[in-house]
Amino acid sequence: MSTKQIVEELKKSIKQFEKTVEVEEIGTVIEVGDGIARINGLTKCQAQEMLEFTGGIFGVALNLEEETVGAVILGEYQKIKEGDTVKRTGRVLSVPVGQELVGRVVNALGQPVDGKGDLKTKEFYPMEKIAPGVMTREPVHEPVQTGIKAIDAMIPIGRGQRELIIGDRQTGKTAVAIDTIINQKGQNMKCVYVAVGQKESKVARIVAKLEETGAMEYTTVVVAGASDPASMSYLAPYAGVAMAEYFADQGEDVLIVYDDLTKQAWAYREVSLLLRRPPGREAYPGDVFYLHSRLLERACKLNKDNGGGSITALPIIETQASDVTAYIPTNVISITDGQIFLETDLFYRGIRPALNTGISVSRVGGSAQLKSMKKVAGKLKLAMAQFRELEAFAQFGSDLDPETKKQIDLGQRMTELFKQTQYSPMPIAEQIASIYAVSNGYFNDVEVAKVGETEKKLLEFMNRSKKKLLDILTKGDWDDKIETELKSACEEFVKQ
Amino acid sequence: MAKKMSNRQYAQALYEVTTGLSGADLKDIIAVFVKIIVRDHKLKQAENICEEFIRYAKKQAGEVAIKVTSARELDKSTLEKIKKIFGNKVESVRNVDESLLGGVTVKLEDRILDASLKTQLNKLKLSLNS
Repeated sequence: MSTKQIVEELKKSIKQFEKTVEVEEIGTVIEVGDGIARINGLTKCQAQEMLEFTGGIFGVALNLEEETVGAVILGEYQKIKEGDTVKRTGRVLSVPVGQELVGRVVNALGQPVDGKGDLKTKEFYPMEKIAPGVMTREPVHEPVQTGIKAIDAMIPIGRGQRELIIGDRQTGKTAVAIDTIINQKGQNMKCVYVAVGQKESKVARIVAKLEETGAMEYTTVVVAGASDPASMSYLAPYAGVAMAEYFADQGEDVLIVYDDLTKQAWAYREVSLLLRRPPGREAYPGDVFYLHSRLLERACKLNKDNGGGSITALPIIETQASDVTAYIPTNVISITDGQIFLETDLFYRGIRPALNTGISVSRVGGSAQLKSMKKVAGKLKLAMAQFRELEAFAQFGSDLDPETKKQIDLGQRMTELFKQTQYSPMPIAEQIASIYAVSNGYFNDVEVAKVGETEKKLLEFMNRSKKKLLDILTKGDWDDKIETELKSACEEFVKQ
Repeated sequence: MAKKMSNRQYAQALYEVTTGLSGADLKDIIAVFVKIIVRDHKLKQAENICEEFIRYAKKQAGEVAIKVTSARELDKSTLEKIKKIFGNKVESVRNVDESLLGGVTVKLEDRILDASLKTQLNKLKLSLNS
């Protein structure tokens, strides 16, 4: 702005000075405690409205009662005293959105916390928004490639799907999510990673990893750390999805990870109890189901008329001692379109990702799977289920009929093949090639323990001399010609 | 048990039954009211109920209480002018706050009419920043 403009503005403002009178509606704080405040007055306050306390601290009105308003304080509540005045802002809780957020780390209010300067966003989206309706949606039909063999083959995820990642602590839930984000490079996908109640050190490590792998170029991280007030943890997922909605409205595909919703439910329980809402099962308030359902409903695949964008949600839930029948896990399982189960047992047996293929499902992802992958891995889930049934017999070794033995053999090799180290997502074509090779018996002469090694050799061979075939497989087409080509490639490899 | 009543509701009830009464009747009513308060264990709140009563009675009588804050001491005629805007029966409290720089703010129940220089300058700052 030039000096002249400033002078003009000043003149204009001074001229209008007597005309403008600000009308502010105020209330007084009558009670403060543990991140909440009870406020008298504020007669026309809206639900979810931002309130401004003295000293520029903001709050959100959650309980509107006859005489008082119950609000959560976003920020340092130690500075707020009884008798302080509280102003209405007239705005419902909203966060900045825009392309500027990509590559940034922000808090639950959208303020940057990565020290890379201010955000120059122009738009704000409300945190709470009713999810897109039936007429604006369409079924999922494009895949999300997680880069994890076991998931892409047996539990395919589609763009716009909500797939729960569930398991005990230390089973690699975050690893699955982070690998998926890393694998979105060049897949035309924006990512939002929402860390709720996580240790700051863990978040720092994840951000460093994402930067190292170049994933921050398309990722936004929303952090509500363990030391932030509960209100921040409660709001962070909504802030994340609001940012994701902006991208989806531009017709882009977005992947959002909520890590994790158990902690959000805890935070919401804390806030609710402090606001004296009646507790229900496990002391959660009555609307804890709605807390998660309204969040996850905002994941969607929009149809062409509405821009064709999508939000794929990967919520994470932590169970206690593999108890999936606890309140929050059952709620979220029933809301999502499938779940990926991770088990401690498998993890310590060295099967990583510790995926339990028996109870992991994807209810809608099948129609989004690439045709080639579908053909190759179609019967895999059933074969693995049968293998698990027969696994107990494996120790009898020679006393088995050849058919059973064959199944056990294949199962063992498949299990070995699905082992994958962290931060090493695999391109879809390579996945197809190796799964095809193993399931069609080309690895039968390989020792089970050496499957991984042989797979590496196979992929080296394919990348070296069959680059064209891999390119075709990436496109997802499948016909007899491609199959014969793949077959001959495998045979060529075995001969070596 | 009946629904919990707030101080304001007690005060309103008292006001409604006592309007237009005087002498012995008024005494009786007040005696009954005190008994009700004792029954409801609200004796501790008696002072607050009184305050609410006064506030409510004033409101019913069309009286308005305002609090005028200005940067400098206001002279009488200006104050009278301000009072007139809000009606005939206006009770005002004057207050001086130099941080306003200039102009006045008027507090009216739970609203503030802000015509201070400080707010105007803040607004100007915001418009220049964006």
